[in-house]
Amino acid sequence: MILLLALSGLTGSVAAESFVVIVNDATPAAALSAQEVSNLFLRKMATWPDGTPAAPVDLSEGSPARESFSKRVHGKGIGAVKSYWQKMIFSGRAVPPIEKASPADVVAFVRAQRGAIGYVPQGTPLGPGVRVLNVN
Amino acid sequence: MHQHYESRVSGSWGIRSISLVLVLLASLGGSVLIAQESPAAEAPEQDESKGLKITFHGYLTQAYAQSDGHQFLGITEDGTADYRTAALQIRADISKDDAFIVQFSHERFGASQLQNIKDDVGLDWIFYERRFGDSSIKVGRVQIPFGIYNEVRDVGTLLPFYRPSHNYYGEAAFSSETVDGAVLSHAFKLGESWGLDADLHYGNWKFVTKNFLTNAYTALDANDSLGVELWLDTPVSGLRIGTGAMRFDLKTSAAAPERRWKVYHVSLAGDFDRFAVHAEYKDVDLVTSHALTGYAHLGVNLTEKLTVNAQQERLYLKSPNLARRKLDDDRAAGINYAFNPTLVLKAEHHWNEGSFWLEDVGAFNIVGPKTKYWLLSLSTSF
Repeated sequence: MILLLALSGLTGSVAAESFVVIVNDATPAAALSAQEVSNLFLRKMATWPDGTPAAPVDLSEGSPARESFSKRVHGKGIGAVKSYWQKMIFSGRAVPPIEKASPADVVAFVRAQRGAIGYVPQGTPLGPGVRVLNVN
Repeated sequence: MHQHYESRVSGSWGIRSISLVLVLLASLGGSVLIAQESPAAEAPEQDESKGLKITFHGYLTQAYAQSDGHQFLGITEDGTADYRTAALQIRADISKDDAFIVQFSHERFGASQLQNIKDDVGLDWIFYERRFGDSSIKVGRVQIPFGIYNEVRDVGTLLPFYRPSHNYYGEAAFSSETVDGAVLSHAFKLGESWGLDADLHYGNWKFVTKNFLTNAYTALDANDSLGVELWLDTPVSGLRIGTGAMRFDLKTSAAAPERRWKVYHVSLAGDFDRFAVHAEYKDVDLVTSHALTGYAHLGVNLTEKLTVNAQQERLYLKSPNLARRKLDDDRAAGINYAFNPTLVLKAEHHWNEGSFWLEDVGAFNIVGPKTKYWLLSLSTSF
């Protein structure tokens, strides 16, 4: 019940695919704001509060969950985020997070990588080593 | 004393630098392969923070351009397809905190004499970056953070038109894309919704200048360049405000004394879902006069892929005891179709007044001729 209440803090709209933000079990953070999650994915924040390097992972561009995540967390569509990354790349500042083709691949990456953070469609089996992050 | 730009990157130095970079990258890659052949002693937890990662990126914009008479920045009445920008970037992320990046570029300016000081393939930038927390330092040939577009002035997929304001960012427009030296950067967190990016640069760069009698271009040495750039992220998503200042020492000729020039600017960048607005103003203190330039751009997304753009830019010269003189006035309208964010087709038309950037007449005419020119271009990036 607590988990469901936590998830209700940030899920996608009915029209788009709902998603949940997931992190590696070893990640100390229990909750983050949407702005902080966005900063991690846009590499404006490079580490978690304990200094662990953050390792964000995106779903591939065609994923409805990615579209929902982009609009709800970044406040802009995938196209605008891509333009942001082009600017980062060609000003030599940063490169975008890696992309995984499927939610299962995202879960596997987050499980294996300390400091990893990703998002998957709501209802995706998570298994051990991965938990949902409360996003305010 | 003029130092010809071509001597820096052409011929043996240019080819040697490219070869050196390739040898360095091959050595780094070889080290990675040797390490990977050793059996892993630790548990096989994947750790992206370790290991060398090499990525390639690039962009290309190919244009066809034509004017209605005068030659404007290489665009002639006959039309030209020799109008393009391209670059290839090789990025080596050595660790989570260290990166080595090199970018080569190619640029063509139609019939402009600017071609005489530009190599077919040049070294855009090459630098080592070390990150520490919210700070970083880059050393080498580094982009100068200045204004909205200085670091990405040639990346067509990021620009509303073929090029950003030519008075603000163009060749011979009192600006440089790079500095040979260092850039120190820091991101300040000002609460959850505000942020401040600060950059400090120091070094030397090539100041491209135009001879307004012969329309030839040469490159001078801008030395002891020191500048600061500040960008404020506001709580309004997509709205940023910037300002910056720099100073450098320059000798405009062998006989002229070295003088300290200063540049100041303010910028506004608003990139929103349905529209974008950009406005910048720059004051170049030339010691004996001021060059004042500014532009305003509005882009409206008619659909997710179709955007219409309009821009007005001007350049003035202000000398003591003289009225301000308008040297260039350019109005532009264009339409862009983005097949996707990395493939964009653009059609644009410009109405220009003034002779400052014309290359077939002398400049500084008080009442300048009117020139129309247009471009059709395709931009891609990866």
